[in-house]
Amino acid sequence: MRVLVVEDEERLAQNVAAILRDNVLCAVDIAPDGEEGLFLAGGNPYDLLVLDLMLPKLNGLQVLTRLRGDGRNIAVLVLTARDEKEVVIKLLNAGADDYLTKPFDLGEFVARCKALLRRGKGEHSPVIQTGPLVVNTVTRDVQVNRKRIALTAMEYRVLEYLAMRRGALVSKEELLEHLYDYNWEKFGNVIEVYISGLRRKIEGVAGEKLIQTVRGLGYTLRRESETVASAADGI
Amino acid sequence: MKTFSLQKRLIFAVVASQLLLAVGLVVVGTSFSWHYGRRAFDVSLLGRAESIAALVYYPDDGSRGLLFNEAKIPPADHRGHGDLFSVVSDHGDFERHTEGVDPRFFEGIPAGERYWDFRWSGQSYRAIVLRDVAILDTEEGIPQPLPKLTVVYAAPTGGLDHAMRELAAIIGAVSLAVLVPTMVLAIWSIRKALTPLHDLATAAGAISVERWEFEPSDEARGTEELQPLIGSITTVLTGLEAAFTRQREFVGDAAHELKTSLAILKSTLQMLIAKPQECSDYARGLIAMSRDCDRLERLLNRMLQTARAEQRIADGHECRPDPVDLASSCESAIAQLAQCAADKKIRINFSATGEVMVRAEMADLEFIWLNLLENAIQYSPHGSVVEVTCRVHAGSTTVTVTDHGYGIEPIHLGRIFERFYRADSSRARATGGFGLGLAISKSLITFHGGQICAESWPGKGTRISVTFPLDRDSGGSDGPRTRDLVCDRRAF
Repeated sequence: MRVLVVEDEERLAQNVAAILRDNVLCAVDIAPDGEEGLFLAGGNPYDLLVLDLMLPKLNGLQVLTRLRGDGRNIAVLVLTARDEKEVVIKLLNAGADDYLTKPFDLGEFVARCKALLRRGKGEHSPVIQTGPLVVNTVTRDVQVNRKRIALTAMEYRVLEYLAMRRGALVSKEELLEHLYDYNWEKFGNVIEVYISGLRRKIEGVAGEKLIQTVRGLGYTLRRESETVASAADGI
Repeated sequence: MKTFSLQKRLIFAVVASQLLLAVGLVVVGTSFSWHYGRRAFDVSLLGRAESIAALVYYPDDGSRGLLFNEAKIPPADHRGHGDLFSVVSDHGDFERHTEGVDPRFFEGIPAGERYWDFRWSGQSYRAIVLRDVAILDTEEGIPQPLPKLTVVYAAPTGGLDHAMRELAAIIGAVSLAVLVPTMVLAIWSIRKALTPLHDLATAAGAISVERWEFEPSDEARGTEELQPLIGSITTVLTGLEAAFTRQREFVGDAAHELKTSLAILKSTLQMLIAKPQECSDYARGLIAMSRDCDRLERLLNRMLQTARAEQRIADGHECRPDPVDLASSCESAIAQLAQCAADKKIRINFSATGEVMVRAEMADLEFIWLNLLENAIQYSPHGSVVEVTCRVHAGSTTVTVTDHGYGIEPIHLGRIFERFYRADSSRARATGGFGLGLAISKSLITFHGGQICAESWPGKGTRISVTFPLDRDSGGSDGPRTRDLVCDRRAF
């Protein structure tokens, strides 16, 4: 998952980014003003936008309005100092998905971000179950046939993304774009390393093939109802 | 307080005056006609009395007795009750009355009066008495002195009274007939004339803290008498709305700044608590939080200064501080910022025309110069020059602070004195600015009766000019002085 934080107060932006990286396990970019925020959000497939309301150049509401005006379906969490009803109503009506007043609680902020990320992928339950695989996105606990699997942070992020997009073909580029922020060099073979690590750990316990590779196109995590064969046929 | 309706009052006043007019018309018209009717009646009485007198004659045969020509008695012009008459000769030899009338009714003739009114047999009569009337028909050989006649003639006034009543009824009916449509017209036009006032009241009544629009109808706008009111309401509202919006913005901005600062502290703290850290991480976190606390403290101080400066203006009590030297307050501020300027190798040139006395608080003046100089140093490139001048004009003195820095874009220039306004947010934040310094400076300058204005040339520099009125009682000058404060490392 990849998140854009638009916040002009640098210290707060850094803290929010650190919280997101540590607790939500996502890639985070920071934009110091509304204009840059809008530019970054327009050019990258973010899964969530954490937006401050009072920003230089373009304020949060303007960013939100333009974003929705361009038809961008990204989840938006607004951070605001003001919690008057009118402000909140205006925000939600402008297309915000959720809001949090400053100063916020770390736990609540993380939970709201996770909920928004989940819903953005069409998930309502924090626990994703597909075949023998169970991914708990809150505790980051992964089980196959009720056996806990120990994964590295990056392996977990790849698996979580695939699990949320289960059944769909996910390209290597998509994975790169959603798992890395701007400051990272993106090398395709990094993904291959994580996928092979995941396969070794999961499929060994499952006793069946869960992650399908479509050569040159990407990967698919098998849906519960599908058999390996039908998934392969469908491609 | 008891309220009343302007419209109802006006309508009542118009209707009442019209009714009064109608009644007056009836009274005046009737009494005028009655007066003339009566005079005509009296003239006709006189004529009849005289014609009665003319009926008395001497017989042609030379006998002495007087005769009365009964056949020529004028007919009564009134139906029913006839006229009454009585002719009496002063020799006592002749007396004639209306048939069947008791002559005693004439006995009540008031002395000296010619006409009088009386009632007889249920009727009102008016009578005339002619005294000493000579007999017209004279014959030769009648012994002197000739007898004189006293003629009394009375006619019932019922006809006149009836005519007067009819006249009053006609005038009353006509007045009423005219009154009703004019009343309707008057009520309609009063309502119509008061519509703009009503519209204006409705428009003014719709104003609230949430809704500042004041939109009187075109009718109200087009009403000459209402224009001063509409003008002043609009002016007051515009001012109020602006003040209200500014206040609301200030509260919003202040909340944003405070809560953001608090959010930084809280998030740092919660990150440290969230999971066990290395000792060095805790130390880093504590140092960062200590800095954040300092920042929060600075922000609070700035906000309090802003509030105090504005409160002083709002309180507006007479301010007569002792005169202080403007030039030395500039020098003091320059000295305080020498190190800061030196760090950027910026030279501050100061020139003044001697002692310039103004009535202001020294601390306020120093705050203003410190703030202006800090900004100038902040927005100037390394190694540039900041010029400070202090010049005296007629009755006032102007201090200018000119830098050769980045300048301010025209769209920002008009707003730099607003609270929390930062033309260049990221740079201002990086240097710990809150966008309050210039707002405080402006309030202080306004409080001491001065003015501040800014000119800027983007990419070339900015000049801020502050003008104070001179203190007239102590305008001493000890000749021009020019100082060059070279503030780089070599100088210190």
